[in-house]
Amino acid sequence: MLRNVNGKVERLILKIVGPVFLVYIIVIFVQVLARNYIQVPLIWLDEVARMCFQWTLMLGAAVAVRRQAHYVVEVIPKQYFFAVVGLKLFAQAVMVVFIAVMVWHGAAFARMGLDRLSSALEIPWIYIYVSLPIAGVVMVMFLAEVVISDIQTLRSRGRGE
Amino acid sequence: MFPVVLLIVSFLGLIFLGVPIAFAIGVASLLTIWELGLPAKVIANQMFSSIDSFPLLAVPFFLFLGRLMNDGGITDRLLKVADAFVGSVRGGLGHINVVVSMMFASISGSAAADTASIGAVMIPAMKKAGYPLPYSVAITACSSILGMIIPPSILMILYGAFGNVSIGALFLGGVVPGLIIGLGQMAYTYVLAIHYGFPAKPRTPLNETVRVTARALPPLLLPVIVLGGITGGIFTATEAAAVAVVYGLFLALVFYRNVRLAELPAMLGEAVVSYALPLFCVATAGVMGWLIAYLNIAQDVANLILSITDSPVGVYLMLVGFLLVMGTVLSPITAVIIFLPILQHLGDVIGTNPIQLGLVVVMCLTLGQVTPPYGICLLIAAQIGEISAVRAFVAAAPILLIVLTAILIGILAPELYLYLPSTFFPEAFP
Repeated sequence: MLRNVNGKVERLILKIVGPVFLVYIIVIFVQVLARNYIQVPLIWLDEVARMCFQWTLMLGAAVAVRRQAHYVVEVIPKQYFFAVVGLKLFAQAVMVVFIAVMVWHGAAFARMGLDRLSSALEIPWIYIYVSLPIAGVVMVMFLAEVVISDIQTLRSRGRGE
Repeated sequence: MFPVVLLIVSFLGLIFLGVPIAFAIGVASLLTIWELGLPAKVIANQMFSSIDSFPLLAVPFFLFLGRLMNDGGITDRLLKVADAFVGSVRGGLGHINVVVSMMFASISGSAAADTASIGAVMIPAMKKAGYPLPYSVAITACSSILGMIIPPSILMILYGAFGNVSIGALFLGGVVPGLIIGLGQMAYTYVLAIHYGFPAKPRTPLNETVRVTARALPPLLLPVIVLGGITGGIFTATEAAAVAVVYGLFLALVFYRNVRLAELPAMLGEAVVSYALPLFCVATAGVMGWLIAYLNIAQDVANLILSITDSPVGVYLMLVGFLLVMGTVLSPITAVIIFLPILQHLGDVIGTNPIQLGLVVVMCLTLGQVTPPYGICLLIAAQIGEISAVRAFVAAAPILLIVLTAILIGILAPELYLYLPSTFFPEAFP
């Protein structure tokens, strides 16, 4: 059930961030052309690129939680199965703490961005800052799936299967 | 003093307990922020302020470019060029491996992409031709760290962006050490080749050489666009990167037609996930960097080091030792963001040139890419060659001495490296 939902969420995120990345490439390219050939610096394009960058970064980091792709230093060799999975569960508990801060304090921080406007486009910063708590919520869903599957492998190994 | 100890111990402890690096940095910072009684909102604030930087926008571009070159069949074309020029030297495949890494490095800005794409072709080929496997794996991993030294370099972009140092000057400063390390690795390969009797490939006829070079000319124009554009003051590193990506897309989609338009959305989506990994580390490392500044750790570390030695060379050597150790566990990007305030403060105290300091730091941290436990290039190459990382590291050790020599030259005779940047970017040399 969770796996199905998360699969859909991951595909949806990838469908969104791909085109957003393309927009961000094109925007900076157009800015170079505009400044060098028609001598009009388009500062608002710069802002669009930053927004695309920050949103894609946060959502990409969330997808990486599901794929367990975040960089880890592996100290214990793989043959010590219980130690490896046990430590992994500990690491996931630590991740939950930080993700909770991202959601809770990220949301509080985003609310502060409600009446702060960006300099060129005059968009409230909340639309950018909210990417942090949203990525946090997605991370919780993805992490839950990983934890459940780790506990399941731990149990089946424990029963000697 | 307690908050400083808490920050450092919890950070290292969490990393060794297997917490993903980005989260270990975040939670260590969180604990320290709680201990200091600061509002936790600071974390969100600092995460955004560290990624809200225009030069940083170039990082995804150079990462994507590496992938694009691979999927677009550009790597194969570069391999043929390298083959035509150095394949007939004794130990030909080893030389090809180094030369193609240097060409790849002058287009992409990261090392791991280089290892993965060149290793996938070269390691099986070298195995088939009878080269010892540990050597093949080691030379693949060690030559790919040039991706971070030869411009463009993602690591230099970050160093420049966070340290307020001219990225163009750092780029040009990487040219000479990059050449020294590349040529040194080829010399080492030649010595091994004579000793163990590595084969040489038959000489490529001249007309064939001209033909393969002409076919690879469009991608080889990329470094000219990027470096020339930045050096000539036409555009910033970020803009150069965007131009390079658009040009790379044109090559892959239209010119060589190795990538179909229908594949593009998926490629872009995957690119986002792969750049989010290092950059999410940048975001959380920003919080820790801020704490280091807030707690004035840079001052303490500087005093500690200066109480041992105050000779610039002595301080430099201690920095090298520190960075080599840190580089084994932290990715170079993360290490730069966390330690930059300390490094720059030390640099100011001993009165060194900021470009020289930047080059030495970058070279030291790239070594971490080929040392266990977290040498990503070594791990990728060892995986392709199906040998243990330890065996690969033993074979890599002599090659690493070449890089160390290049670092020592940077400390003792910096003029050699600084000639290019000081000629083209005199304003970066106060």
